Amino acid sequence: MTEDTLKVFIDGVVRYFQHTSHKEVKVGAPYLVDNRQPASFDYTGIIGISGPYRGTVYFTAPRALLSHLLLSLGEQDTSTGNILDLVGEVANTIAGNARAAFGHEFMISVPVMIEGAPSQIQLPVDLRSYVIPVSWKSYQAAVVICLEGV
Amino acid sequence: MNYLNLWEATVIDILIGKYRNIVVSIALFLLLDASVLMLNFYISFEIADDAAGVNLAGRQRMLSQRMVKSTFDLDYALKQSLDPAPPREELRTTILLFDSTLNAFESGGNATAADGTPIYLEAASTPAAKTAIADANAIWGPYKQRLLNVVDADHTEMAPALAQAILYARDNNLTLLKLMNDLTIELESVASSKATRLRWIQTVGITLAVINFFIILFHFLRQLKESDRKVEQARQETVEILETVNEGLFLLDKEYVISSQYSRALEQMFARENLGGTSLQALLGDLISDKNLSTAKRFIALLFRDDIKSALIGDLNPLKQVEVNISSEQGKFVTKYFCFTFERAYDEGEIANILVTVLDITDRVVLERELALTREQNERQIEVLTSILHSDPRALESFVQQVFEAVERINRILREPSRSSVALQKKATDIFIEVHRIKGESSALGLESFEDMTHEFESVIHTIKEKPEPAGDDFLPLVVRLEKLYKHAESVQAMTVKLGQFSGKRLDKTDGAQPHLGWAELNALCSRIAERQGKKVGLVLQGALPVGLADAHDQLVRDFVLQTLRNAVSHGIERPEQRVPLGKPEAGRVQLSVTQNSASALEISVYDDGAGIDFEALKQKAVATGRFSKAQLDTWSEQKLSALLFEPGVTTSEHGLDAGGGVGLSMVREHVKTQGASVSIRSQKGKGTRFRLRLPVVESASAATVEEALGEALC
Amino acid sequence: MLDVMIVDDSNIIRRKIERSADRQFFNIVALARNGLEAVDLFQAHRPQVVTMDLTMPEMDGIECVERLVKIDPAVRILVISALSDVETGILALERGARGFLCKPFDDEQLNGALTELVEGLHD
Repeated sequence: MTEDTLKVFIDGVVRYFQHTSHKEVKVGAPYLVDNRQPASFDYTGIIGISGPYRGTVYFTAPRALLSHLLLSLGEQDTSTGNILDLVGEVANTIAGNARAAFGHEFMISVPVMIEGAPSQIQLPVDLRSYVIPVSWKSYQAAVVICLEGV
Repeated sequence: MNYLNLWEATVIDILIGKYRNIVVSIALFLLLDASVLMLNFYISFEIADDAAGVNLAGRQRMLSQRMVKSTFDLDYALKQSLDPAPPREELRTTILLFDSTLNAFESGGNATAADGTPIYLEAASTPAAKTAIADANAIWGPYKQRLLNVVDADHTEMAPALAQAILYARDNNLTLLKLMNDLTIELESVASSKATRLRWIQTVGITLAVINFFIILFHFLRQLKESDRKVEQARQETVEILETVNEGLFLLDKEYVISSQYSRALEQMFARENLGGTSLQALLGDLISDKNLSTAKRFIALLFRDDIKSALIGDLNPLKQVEVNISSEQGKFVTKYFCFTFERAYDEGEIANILVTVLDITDRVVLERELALTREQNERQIEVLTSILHSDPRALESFVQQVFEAVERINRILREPSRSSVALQKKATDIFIEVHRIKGESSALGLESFEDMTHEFESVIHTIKEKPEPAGDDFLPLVVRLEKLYKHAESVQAMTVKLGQFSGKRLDKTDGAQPHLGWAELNALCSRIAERQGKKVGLVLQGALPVGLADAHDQLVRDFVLQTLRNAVSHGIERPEQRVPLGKPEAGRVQLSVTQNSASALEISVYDDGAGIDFEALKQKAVATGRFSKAQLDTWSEQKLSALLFEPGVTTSEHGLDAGGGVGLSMVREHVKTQGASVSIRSQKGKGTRFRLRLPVVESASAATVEEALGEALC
Repeated sequence: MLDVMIVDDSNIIRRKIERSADRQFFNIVALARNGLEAVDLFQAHRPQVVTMDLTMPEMDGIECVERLVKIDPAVRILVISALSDVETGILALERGARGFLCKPFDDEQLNGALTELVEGLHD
């Protein structure tokens, strides 16, 4: 795992927010988190990665951020369905960015969206994930990356 | 493996057998039909002839009566003086027609049909007909003569001739009519018997055809059923095989199209359905690279070429082991390893298809990988091992623990919310302190791997610190290093645990090691040495050991503390049996004091309540090095003599294991010289010895002390 | 007895094949160190069987296979090469070689491959 690999995923998120009216998105200092306690906010979009690196990358955000994001995109309907759509969109952007950066050697899955505690995020318990906090307006979200090198 | 091939061959065999029988049966059927038809044709011609005969015979009856009528018409015309010509001509025509027809019936020949066309008549053949004709001829001869006389007579002779003819006609007309009737009936009966025969022939023919049809039908049906049964059985077997085999099986044709039948396992393996009729590309397109797919196609194309020896190209199979990533419903990829094998499937000696077998070899590959990984890890571990073999396992253990704690602290620092670049700068600084501490420790313990890692870590922090306005993602390389450090500490820890398990002895072997400077470690060190020498000792720490000194100072402090403690226990403290008579407590006391007198001076002293320096023994040792003479030394004060302890090769120790072998204290002296520090020794016979180190404090990175470190470890 | 030509730039491999080939069936008539030499020697001796290395100086195995097959379409060529490049192996077969043997090989593998290669061929 190198910082460049991490950067690819973070760039995906940053790129997404840069499409919004409030472009200013800040990446916080990254840190590690034990996989036995996967970190997450209210909604999470997960993509699976496979190839020279394999594992999971997810974007997780609180409802408030996503609602606000929806509004800033001109969408008045902030129902859960739309929120999930949005979190999936962000995950998709991350996946697209990763695909472009890594080439066909990597397989990147279609995003899976989850509401609530991500018990479905299967992470190898003996590893740690990288958490990269992202702040947009006054909200906090995060990109969580857990990749094993092969 | 060639299930499908076998199955096809069976089907072909069955079909050939079936066709032979059906072809024979149909040929027979056609032959029979043709012969019946020909017979029918022939007889129907005969019947047609007979019908003409019957018609003409019937006409003879009519003609016989018309002749009579014509004679009467003529008679009437004569009596009434009418023109006799029309009845006479009619009579003539009738005579000629009757005569010619009768002749034709008798001996065969042409007659005139009703429409005036000539018609050939066979001579009547049956006895009854012959008799009737003969009898008719007997009557007809004279009758005809008489009639001809009438017809040929001139006007005057006609009446008598006519009278004669009428007379004859009156006597014989009915007989002649009857004979002609007999002939007609006879001919009719002949015709009817022929028709009956034809019907019989037709009936028999049709019956035979029907029988043949049923024979064919039953035979064919039975065979068909039988072959169907065999095909079904074969199909069942194939299906069963295809349903149950664990391998993915399918046939590929020259266009790389997948056969309609394939094993169920194939669908499961590829998590796809309805593969029949799709192409290899559709199956593998998004699982393997385009290049790999095209190579595979080229390889398969080679297999379709019969000049290439299939047994000799197995090594070129590009799909012998392919990694595929099958997506699951969870959006997660499952990585599998498949092994494709290709075999030719022949049909009538020609390569018809390629039988493809797909094996899931994931378990095998994973195992191989794990073995390779284990091997690699082992090699890496051995590298680390060689470095830690030189260290004290307990010290190492506590060091690793410290690394974990430091990593945790660094992670905590990273995690704290920080919006401004100033806050991020502070983070970098705080992290640097933690990393630097670990670096110092690792270099003290001689753990190069940790030293390298932390060094790299430090340079990453420097890069961040150099940025005027660092941002969050500038910390990415840092967190990557942090993870690495964590992992490395984990593997070292795992190894020390293992080491501790197989070698308890090793725990005592502290020689050459650089134990961590914690109270626990130092106490353990003293206890071990004391135990080995049959002594009892208690270590007392006064003040706090400095942590985070500049590297060189740190090393000096470490060396000084370790060497003087060793010296105190080994040479200073007496055995209990020596101490007790002197009125001393059984256990010796070693005191380590650290005092910071001012902001710039640090004083560390090690004191023991032992026997003090044995100057006589010291002199002897010094003389033994050859560098000093006895006479010279005798003039020296104790103060000066004690400095000999710092001379290389001079030691009062008899025990090689616990003292520095004369190197330890001299090493300290080297450092003291270069660091601008000073060392002093004070010894009082029977009372004890004090070593004291004074050093100027160079700006330290952290004021953390042993206590603080211990305190944190306990929390 | 079938005439065999060995084409390989390595002395050791040439000698190994020469030593290993079963003399009951195979008669080594020529040894070539590169593609060019192979073409000349092939024209001179007209062997029925050729063992061919792929990576050689002067003229590589692929081109050599092509040239030999052009001279005699019935020639049976066995490519003997390391398995570093499956693509090249396949290319050699596409150009007219009949089989492929992977280096390293033992005597049994070599003779097995040669026997399989000449199957259906009469001397």
